[in-house]
Amino acid sequence: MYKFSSAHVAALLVAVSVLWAVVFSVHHAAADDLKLGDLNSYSRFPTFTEPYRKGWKLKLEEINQAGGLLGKKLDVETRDDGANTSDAVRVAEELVSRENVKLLFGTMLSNTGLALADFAQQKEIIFIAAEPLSDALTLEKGNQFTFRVRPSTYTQTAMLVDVAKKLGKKRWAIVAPNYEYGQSAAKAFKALVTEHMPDAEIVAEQYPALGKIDAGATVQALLLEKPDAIFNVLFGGDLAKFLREGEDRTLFKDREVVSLLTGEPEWIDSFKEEAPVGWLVTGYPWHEIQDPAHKAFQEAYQNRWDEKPHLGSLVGYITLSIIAEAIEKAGSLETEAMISALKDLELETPIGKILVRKEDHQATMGAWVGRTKIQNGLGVMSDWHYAPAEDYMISAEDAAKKRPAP
Amino acid sequence: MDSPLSLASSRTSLLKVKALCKNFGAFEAIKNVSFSLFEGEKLAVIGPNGAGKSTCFNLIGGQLSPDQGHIHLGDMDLTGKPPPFIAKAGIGRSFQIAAAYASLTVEMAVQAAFLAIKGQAYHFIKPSHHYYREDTAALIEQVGLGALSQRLCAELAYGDVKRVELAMALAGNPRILLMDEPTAGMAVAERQSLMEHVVRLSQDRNIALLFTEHDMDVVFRHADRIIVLVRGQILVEGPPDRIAQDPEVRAVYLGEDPL
Amino acid sequence: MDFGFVLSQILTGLSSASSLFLIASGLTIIFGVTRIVNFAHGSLYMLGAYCAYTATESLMAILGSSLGFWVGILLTAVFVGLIGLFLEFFLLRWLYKSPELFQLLATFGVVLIVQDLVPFLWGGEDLLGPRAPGFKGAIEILGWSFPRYELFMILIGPCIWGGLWLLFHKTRWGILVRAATEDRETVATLGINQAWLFRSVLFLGAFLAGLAGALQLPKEPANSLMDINIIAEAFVVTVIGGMGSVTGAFLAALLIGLLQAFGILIFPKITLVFIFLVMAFVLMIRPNGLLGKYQTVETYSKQNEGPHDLTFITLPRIFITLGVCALLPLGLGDFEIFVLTEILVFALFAFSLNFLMGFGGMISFGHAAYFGLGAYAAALMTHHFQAGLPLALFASPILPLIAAALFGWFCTRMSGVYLAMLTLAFAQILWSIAFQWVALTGGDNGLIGIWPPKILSDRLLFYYFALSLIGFVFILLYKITLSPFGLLLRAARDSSKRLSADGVHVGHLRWAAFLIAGASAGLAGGLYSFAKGSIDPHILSIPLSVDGLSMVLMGGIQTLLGPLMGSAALTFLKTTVMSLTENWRFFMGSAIVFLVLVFPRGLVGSLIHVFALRKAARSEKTERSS
Repeated sequence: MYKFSSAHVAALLVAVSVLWAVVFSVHHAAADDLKLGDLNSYSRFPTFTEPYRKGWKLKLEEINQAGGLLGKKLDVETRDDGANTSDAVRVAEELVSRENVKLLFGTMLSNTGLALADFAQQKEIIFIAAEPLSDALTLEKGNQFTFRVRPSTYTQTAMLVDVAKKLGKKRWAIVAPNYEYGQSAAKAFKALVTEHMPDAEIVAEQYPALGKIDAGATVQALLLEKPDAIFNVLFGGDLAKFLREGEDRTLFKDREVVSLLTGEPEWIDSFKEEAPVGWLVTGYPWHEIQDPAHKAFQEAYQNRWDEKPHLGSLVGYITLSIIAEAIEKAGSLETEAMISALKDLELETPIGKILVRKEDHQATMGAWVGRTKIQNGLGVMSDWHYAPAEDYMISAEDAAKKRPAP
Repeated sequence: MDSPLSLASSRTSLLKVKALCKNFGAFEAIKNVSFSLFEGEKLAVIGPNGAGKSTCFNLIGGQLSPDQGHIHLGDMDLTGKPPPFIAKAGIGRSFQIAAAYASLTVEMAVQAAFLAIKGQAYHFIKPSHHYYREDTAALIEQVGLGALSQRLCAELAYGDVKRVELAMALAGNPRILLMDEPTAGMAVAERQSLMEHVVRLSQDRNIALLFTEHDMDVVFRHADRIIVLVRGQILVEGPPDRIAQDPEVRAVYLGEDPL
Repeated sequence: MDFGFVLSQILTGLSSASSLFLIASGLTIIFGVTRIVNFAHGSLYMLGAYCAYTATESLMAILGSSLGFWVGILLTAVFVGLIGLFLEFFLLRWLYKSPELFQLLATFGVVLIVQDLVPFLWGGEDLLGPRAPGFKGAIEILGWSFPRYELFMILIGPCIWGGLWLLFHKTRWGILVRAATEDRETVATLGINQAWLFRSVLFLGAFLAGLAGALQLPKEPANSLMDINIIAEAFVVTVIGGMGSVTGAFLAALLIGLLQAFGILIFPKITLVFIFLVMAFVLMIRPNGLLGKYQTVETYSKQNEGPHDLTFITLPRIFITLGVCALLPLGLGDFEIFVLTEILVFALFAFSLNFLMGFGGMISFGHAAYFGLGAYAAALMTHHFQAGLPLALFASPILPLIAAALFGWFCTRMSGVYLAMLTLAFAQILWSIAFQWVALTGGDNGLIGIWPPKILSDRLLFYYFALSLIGFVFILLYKITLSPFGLLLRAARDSSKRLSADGVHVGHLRWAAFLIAGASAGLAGGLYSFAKGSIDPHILSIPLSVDGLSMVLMGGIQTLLGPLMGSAALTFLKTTVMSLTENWRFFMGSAIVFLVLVFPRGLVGSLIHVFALRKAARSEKTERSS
């Protein structure tokens, strides 16, 4: 029988009271700092979020080395969002009411992004969504406190369809992970195909569970319908499995593959020399972008972190750039002033001039479209071009119509 | 086979078991077993291990349902009915491995038995200890556990658990008490005293007793009639003295054991 | 559909079946002998993949690609087996005397630790391993290309199965293991060193998990989500086969692999829920799985003697506790009050689960179903009908009540782990509905904008509102626990055979308990959605069910105050650690492991145990002196 003593009881009581003291007594933050809160799925998806954090940290250091903003030092509290809405909302509450941050930014998952947008509205605090792709964030579920940096699922799909329609393929297959991002990419693709490729048809669709693809069976199911081309939304481990099975089972032989996000270093790097070749993808050809502004960013990033930039790095950098620009324009971190400053905010970034549209609070950051190839044992993009978001985004008028009345 | 009715023909038969069969896969546990139990009678079922005694009791108690045959209590057909139905019809029972409610006190366990048999399960607010207080106290006293009524069943000696089970089986004032090895696992001295207790209580309440037992002393001292079960079939049945003399029984079951 | 395609799809199904069997066989062996529900099995599998990556990378350079690869795979499996041994020695063996499922909590702690350890050791990026030498490329079968490695996988499953069969039937050790699977007590009485039997079984189980992970490497990059992605499937296969039956797991893996290969041709979107539908279907027909033996667990079991505080807790003391809860938030900020609200809400959730598990004896791995349904009911009322908080909260127990009525009807016909797994299956089915019925539920993005009306929007006022509602339900559940119904429910938990022979239809009784537990979990869910403002399918998912289980177990199963303490401890820990570090999973996992070892009966359970021991010592002293 387990021996027990009052020492155990005492230990428990002491442990609880120490924890209580740690959590509920420490109050940070002087009120007049420029303090922002960042949260993202750092522990769950480090591949994607760590570069993002390094990106905004670089910008933060640049700002503070240049003397801060409005004569004050800019400060960022960063937290893990737990990769689900319930943790994200709690962490946001902590940042707002205990750390006294005046603005929230970050997140990569659509559900945490949407939950925080709603939280921001309830708390009347600004939220800059960095990476969530869900279209709804700035449309049906948009609100006046929420802004977004990255181009949405629809916009990126539109960029790809623009290239895909020139391939002249008739029989298309879709493979997408079975969750919101995959489903809405597939939906957008179907809608755009009807619009831009009237003689094409969708002959097969497969929706494997996220992270649990039965790759062999999925590849077979696609092969059965003998498509001319494939629209792929899979990424990460699922895509790796799909790639190997598809390669062995000759799925990609003589077939065009159009693939969302696959060209981003975050995803393509892990495939090493087995990266797909000749796929049409959206991504980030960081090493070939010759624009001086981008070169400067790339060098600064590599000097600071001793690694190459990922797309997340760029998003992080641009996100904080937008916030900094808005603070300068507003002259304070006060919410009302910041909202008006953010609307129609124009700024120079490493990828050129971008605009935060006032109608739907969406930034016009674009994406790169190109074909994949192997170079030095890594997948990279070739024949790429920059697709400006404004050419593919839903029009400002349509967007305004889709948003709920304020 | 001799008719056993000479002994009990004057009394009405209470429980009638007719041509009962039960198979487990290819194994025939009970083959064509028929017998009757009369009012106030003490009937023992004996037989070697695996003879089908427990199976037989579980068929009567409803824990198992028979493949063939019938079980009647008076005019009521109990064949294949679930245990709660059989309990309410008037058959109380105990199990070979005593099953009491480990986390409850003796008092609560017996109270639970009262609530169960009287159909009072679905009361949600009034505390349970307000129900059947006197009945519970009296019954606990009757089975000789008065001093232990506040102890947890888990803390009791095995013999006392058997007594709790007896009390629970008696809560519904049954017409028949089924006892599967009432004294198994008990010290020799305790066996006779428990069995005397059981017999006295059943006589007071006019309960017929159907029991299995390994201890032949207990069987021959208390049973009015004995059924010998071998490999799922009734070998012979009759009063104790005749069973003790039966050469077939001695050969198959009792072996060299001098009676 | 031409024959070549059908054949090719069959072979694909067989190959998936082999993978599934490898992971499930270890799980089923561990459960069969030790009765440990090993949540960390997926973590061992993931470690297998990562270790194999490291081992093959370095050994292929030294020994050459072919030899290096296979030696690496084998070494990995042995190494992961040793990790299993390590877990047994330092963690699990201290918990064999704890209440049922307490080891589950410990293994859950291990899952969290490994989740943070892996990125720490190997980095966050997916690691694409080498292809298996000699099995690269494909061969042509009736015009369809088929990967060689898949053919190899098809063969490996039956080989492992055969090897295990020989091991269990032709060696003394194996025969002992089988005997222990059938009846633990007998083996204990035979004077066999049970400790070494358990230890060797954990080694074998972990070895198989490691092998499964290592052999997965040529198909899938090692990644940090492998554990979560495989564990549910591993359990499903184990349960369909019958817990403890290796051959059953083999058949179940074949069933799942083949059905899945053809299922997605007909319903491409069924992928999320498919295996759970199969499990629910199999369990309804065969309540103990395909080859599982009927478990007679209801002997005079020591495990039922959990310490309980029912005599200690009285109505005045409950009011004092509620009074303390009312004083706690005074002087605290919004965030702290928010955390306290969360603690209360989860306390109600845990309490309803404990009502089912602790008092009703029905283990549920899917209690989040009712919590989540309650939250969705409230959110849907708000979202689609613009109902106010009162109506939405009124609806929140109703929907779960209906679900509990339906699911409970099936679940209460079985017992033990099978019951638990059926509740899990139902929860997963609801989860996938919430996930895929985008028009109604918003899919995985969930529903937002569920805020209380202005009058309750102040965090403190909402806290008091929640406290009064939860306090009321708590008192109600307390009353029910002590009522005739509660008494008989506890009696049924201790021995359903006995109670049934006493005249109660135990199935009906348990069904009613299911309804009560479901409805009160639903109310907790409703309050939760108003506290958070947004919900997503996560609140119907396995991790939330596991959170509930952890709270109950950590607080002390079968105790009244345990769930509150468990909720406080777990929520508090998570909040604290999450605001201090991003490696919160590691610290939280370590804290769980620590608490499990120090308080092997749960917080409240252990305290009561101390008092009980003291009291016993005191009465012994008085007896001796008199």
